[in-house]
Amino acid sequence: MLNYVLRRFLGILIMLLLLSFVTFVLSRTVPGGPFGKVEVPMGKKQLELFKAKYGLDKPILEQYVTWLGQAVRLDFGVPFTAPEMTVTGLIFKLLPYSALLGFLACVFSLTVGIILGMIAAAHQNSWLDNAIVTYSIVVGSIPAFVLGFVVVYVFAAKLAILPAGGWGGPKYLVLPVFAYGFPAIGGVARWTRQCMVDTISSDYVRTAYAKGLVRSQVMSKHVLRNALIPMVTSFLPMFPGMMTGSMFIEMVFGLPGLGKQFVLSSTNRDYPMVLGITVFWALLLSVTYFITDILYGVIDPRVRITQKSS
Amino acid sequence: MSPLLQVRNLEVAFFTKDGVVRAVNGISYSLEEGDTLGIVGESGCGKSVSCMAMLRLIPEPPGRIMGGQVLFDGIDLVRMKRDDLHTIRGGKIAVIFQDPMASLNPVMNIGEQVAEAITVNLGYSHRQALHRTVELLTRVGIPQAEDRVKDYPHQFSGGMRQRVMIAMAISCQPKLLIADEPTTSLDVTVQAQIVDLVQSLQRELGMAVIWITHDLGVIARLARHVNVMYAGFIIETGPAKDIFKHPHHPYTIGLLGSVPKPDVLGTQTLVYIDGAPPDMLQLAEGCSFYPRCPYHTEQCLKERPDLVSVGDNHGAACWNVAAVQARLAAGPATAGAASGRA
Repeated sequence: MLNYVLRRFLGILIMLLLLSFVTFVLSRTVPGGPFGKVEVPMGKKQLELFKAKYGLDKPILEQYVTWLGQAVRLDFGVPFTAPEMTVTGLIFKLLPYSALLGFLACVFSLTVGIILGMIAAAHQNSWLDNAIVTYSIVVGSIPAFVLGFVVVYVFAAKLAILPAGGWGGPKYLVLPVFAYGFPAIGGVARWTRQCMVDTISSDYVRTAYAKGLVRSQVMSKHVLRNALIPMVTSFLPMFPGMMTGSMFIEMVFGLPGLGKQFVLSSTNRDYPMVLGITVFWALLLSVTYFITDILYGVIDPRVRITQKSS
Repeated sequence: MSPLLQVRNLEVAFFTKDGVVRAVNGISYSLEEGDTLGIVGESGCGKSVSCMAMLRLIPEPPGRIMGGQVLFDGIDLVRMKRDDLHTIRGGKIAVIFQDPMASLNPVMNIGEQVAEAITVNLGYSHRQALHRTVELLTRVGIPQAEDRVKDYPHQFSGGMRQRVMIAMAISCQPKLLIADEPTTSLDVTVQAQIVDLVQSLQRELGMAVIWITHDLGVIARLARHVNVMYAGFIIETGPAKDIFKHPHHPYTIGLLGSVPKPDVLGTQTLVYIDGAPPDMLQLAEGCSFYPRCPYHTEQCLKERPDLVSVGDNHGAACWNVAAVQARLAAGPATAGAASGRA
């Protein structure tokens, strides 16, 4: 088990190293630079002075090594666009907005999606099942940012019952959470249905009926636990996935979160910030996958044994 | 005294996208208490489906029991409310399935799975049930049963898993045990052990057994009466001895002829029945075996034969019973079957 944990951590480290290197090189070789968009154009000499100040005049590999040397000490530098803060400080200042948005959107889509999926599975191949499946395909095909504009038009512009965007309290989250979580319902419902249907039609469920169990006992003791295994493994990573994937929604609603910051940092060529957010997101995702795998072993005895022996 | 089980004109169909599959087409038979019935036939002939339908364990939809009766102890299982079936399943009629790995819940230890049957059917407390489970597992030949109850199905070998299934099936001392090809997925050496085990348990508990298989060797060993099924019909039925000695239906003759016999090395010729199994989507108007039958006549194509008596308690569904017997007497070796090099 310890061996397994160590191997997984090593894997995460190697992944972060590769990812940071690729992001570093790509972001700095993209045309344009941090000093291109100022009101008064700078002279050539002035530009070189600025580049030297931020170390941008050195070869790219040397720059990366310098960055890496600081990064291992958890110093990710200073954002070009907010020199009064550190990259880490800015990330943790903006994180709560994105985390809350992603978390609530996840809870919303999982709640509705799992309920719909279970209803569909319980009435497999009926009109209700067909209706839910069709509905989830349609719902799943709506891009969140398109839905964002629609709900802003209806609830903010026409009905004027909710704010159109920005931040000023919990009610500013209602429309973004809805627009972000609603399209995800489709996938959740279909996967839940699939997991349930697969389990219900399995041989051991037939055995459970054959030994004299009634439907409710079969469902609670045999179907749920088995169906839960593939559900947990795919739904748990949804949380960091949605916490880190909200850039469009944050742009549409002007939410001051990490996603919006990432877009702004990219267009401003704020290299330290782009790199900082990328590494942070990657870390968040890989740690969740790691936790998911551990949990998988807790609910599935077959995995537990193979880990013990490795 | 009326028989333990009476199946009358049982019909089962599956409504699939491609059409209606008529899996079981009006079969009738009965079984006395403590008796052993073998049901033989190739894959898809309806032997498993007919038994699963009795306990209403077929998926509905797409499956549906179209008609008939299944009288068990005088109660018609076909007309029984779905919510009442649990009073029969497990306690009165138990099943051993073909694939013990798939038939055991992978995330529940085997002790719990066996004990569960005891608690729901006999009202034992959890502790009593676990205690009884250890006894049962020991009885079916699982070593160190008290330690192994906490193990999961994947930690057992195929044969041991099937022993667990058997322990589960006999846990409530059922009156009828349906063994649905329980040895098919096992090693040959293990197969014999499982057959012996079921046989000794049958004697001990006095239960009736329906053994579904395509292995004629197993049937010869343990069945007293045999039903041969083809395309959802019972095409021959009779005492095992008679069927093996004097098969009457061309299909049964072919089936028995296709069992490989130990021969001088290298000269072994595998005998097989020519043609393909019937298309269950399009049931023939006449005899379903017509296309593969070497004895077929005009009548076979037009009319479906009913079972006719060919001996004591022995029936065959064939129009040409007499002609077949005559041909058989002339050249017994490959009658009813084509032959070829293996």
